[in-house]
Amino acid sequence: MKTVWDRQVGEGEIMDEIELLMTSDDVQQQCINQWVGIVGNDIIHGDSVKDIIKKAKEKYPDKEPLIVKLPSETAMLL
Amino acid sequence: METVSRTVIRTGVKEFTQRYISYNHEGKRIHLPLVYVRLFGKNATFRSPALVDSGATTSFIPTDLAEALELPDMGVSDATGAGGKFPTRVTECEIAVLKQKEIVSILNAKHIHIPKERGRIPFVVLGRDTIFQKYDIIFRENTMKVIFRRPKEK
Repeated sequence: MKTVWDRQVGEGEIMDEIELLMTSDDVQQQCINQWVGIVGNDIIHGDSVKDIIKKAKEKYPDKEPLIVKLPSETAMLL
Repeated sequence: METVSRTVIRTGVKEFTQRYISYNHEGKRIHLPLVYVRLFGKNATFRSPALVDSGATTSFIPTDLAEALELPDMGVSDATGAGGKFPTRVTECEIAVLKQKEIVSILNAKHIHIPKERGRIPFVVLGRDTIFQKYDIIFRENTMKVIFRRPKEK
């Protein structure tokens, strides 16, 4: 069975994390109001950013994670 | 470690254009002028999106990211946002601006604020003291792109 990633980028192809975040609605929805790590096509969840980085390092010791949280507010003035 | 080289032209900047990130939430479309940055901490380095904010006189790093980076504590301060004044801590951090995974500029943020309240800001905010010192920045709302140009000679 094809996964969302296969549909997004084609089987076996690794999409850049930034490109994935820019184009994948599934990935974006997972980032709303919570910190997640993205490494290649994998999404890493955790209790804190420290925890996400620890998990990312364990799973992908040679990769650098993209740490993301997207706000749900449609109108923002920081 | 993958692509964590800081071998960019430390003095120079490379011009680039970044598309806004656009996503859906509860039937509404959100568009944000984000760039991608690499944050260098004591024991951690990672990439994260950062808001380019021409209305911010200073720059910010969210509490959660600052903790993970173990940034130095350089004292207390405060900042004023839309909801009024809020307490911050001051730190310094080396920030590389990225186009995809290529470093296009290095920002040495010597006085960057970390809100004490967790969740106060959802991402790194690059204000007029950092990225605006390096680039002439044009927001193209009609095409949802931000253009970063080398500053014109005075």
